[in-house]
Amino acid sequence: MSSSKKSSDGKSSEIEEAVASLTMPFNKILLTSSDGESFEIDEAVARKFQIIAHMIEDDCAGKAIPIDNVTGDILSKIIEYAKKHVVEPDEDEDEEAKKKLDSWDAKFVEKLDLETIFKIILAANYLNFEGLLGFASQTVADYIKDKTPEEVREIFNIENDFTPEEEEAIRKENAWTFNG
Amino acid sequence: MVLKFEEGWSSLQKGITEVIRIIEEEPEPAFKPQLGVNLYTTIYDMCTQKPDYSHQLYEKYLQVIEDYTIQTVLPSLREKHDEHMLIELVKRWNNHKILVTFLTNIFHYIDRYLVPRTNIPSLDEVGLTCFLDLVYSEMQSMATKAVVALIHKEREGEEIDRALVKNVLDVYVDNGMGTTEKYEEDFESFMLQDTASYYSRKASRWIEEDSCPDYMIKVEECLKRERERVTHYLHSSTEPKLVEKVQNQLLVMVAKNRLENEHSGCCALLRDDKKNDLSRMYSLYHPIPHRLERIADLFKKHITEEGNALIKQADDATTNQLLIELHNKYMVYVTECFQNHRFFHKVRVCSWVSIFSHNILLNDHSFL
Repeated sequence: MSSSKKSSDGKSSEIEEAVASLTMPFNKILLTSSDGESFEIDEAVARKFQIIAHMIEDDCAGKAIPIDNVTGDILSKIIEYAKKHVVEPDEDEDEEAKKKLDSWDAKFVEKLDLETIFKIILAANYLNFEGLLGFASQTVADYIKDKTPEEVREIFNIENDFTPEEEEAIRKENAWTFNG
Repeated sequence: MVLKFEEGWSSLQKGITEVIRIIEEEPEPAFKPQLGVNLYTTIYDMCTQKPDYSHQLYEKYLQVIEDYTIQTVLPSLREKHDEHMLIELVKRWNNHKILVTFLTNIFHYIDRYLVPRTNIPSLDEVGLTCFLDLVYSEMQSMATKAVVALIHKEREGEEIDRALVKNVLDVYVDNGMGTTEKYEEDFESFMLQDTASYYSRKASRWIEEDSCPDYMIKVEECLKRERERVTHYLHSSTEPKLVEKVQNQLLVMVAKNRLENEHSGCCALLRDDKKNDLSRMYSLYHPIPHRLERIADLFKKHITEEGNALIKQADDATTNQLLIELHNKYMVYVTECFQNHRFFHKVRVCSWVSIFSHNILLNDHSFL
């Protein structure tokens, strides 16, 4: 499917690959987003994305990898996060470093709108970047935990498929959660 | 955009066919990133959309591997024999591992979500078990025969392809899925049996042809070669079992014939002062306490006889001096040949007590 989308670009990506393997410094990987933006990153950073880690292990990574499912703007945010989290500090051993990283994480998501965070979750799931997937999901969970069902429906664009009677029954059952 | 199953699967099938072609035809299979990414993305889309095709794709994954194994791998193995078959077996196992690794990577989404949710075996497990069930189970007994034949060749002095044997035995170990069960049951037990017959035949011939010292040199050489065999291609856990088989045939079963041989056995060696041969005899029998004890008995018998003979022959004045000399002579044996082993220390003491008490009984009251 994706190959038909890229049929005109097929040749240029092959050339890009060939050039990359000749000119890339050791231990660098070139990622190219679906809209043609390229990012040169350290192998250690690229390995945070499990699908790339697998390719590297199987020796089939070459040096240039097309990331067909992610646009450049989202990929750049994900790479930014990955670079910061290449080495995760141990909570017990280095509390200071953990606090610093946590506050960086908080600032990182603060600047992002919900739409972008959704895209990041989908991309992190695709790339199999567990750390960011967990963090971004938690961010959204925290955001909606104090919202009413109506507000949550609006955020996720979910249609209300309960009848008024069903909804009343559920509200009664879970009354205790609404009185917090 | 929702992908229909037939559409999605058709493009996956094309890609997987290409992967198999690369594995089959290229000496050093290498996959372009675009191929893996395309396939991964298609599978990812088919698993994250509604309807979700994870179950069907899991079935397809298994089917692809089974079909490939049945239609391509098995026929190619069945048409080969002996060493050629072994070479093919190693190649096919390596190819299988490459295929399973590639496929588990592109189907990885299923391992992440469907497998834990529904408690089905992981992709890796079903992929590798396919080879075990379809290929290994059919080929293992022929492969064992072929390997045992190669080992026989090597024992008879011919050069064999050791790397090949090692690779074949690795297939057995790998297919034990974390245990050495397959290796032990399907190969080792047969190899050990064959080893016992081989050395039993050799022993029968050698005890007729060779003196005890020459025989022991041969045994030493055999044990050395068998230990080397382990380092070259057998699994390390085989060593004690292999050594035990060889020792049993070459040392234990023939112990009486060898040790008590009139012309060149233990007593003859003591008589002729053959310290090197006695040292070799000790080191060969040291791991076999039961037989080592027999040697100690023979040693004791020899000393006692010599001591008593001495007492009969010599006159009173020199007896004690000669006995002390005899004692010192055999002390050297205990330390040099028998490594101060407690069996032999015990012998020394007992035989001396018996000689001296015999002496005292006979004539030497003044010694007291």
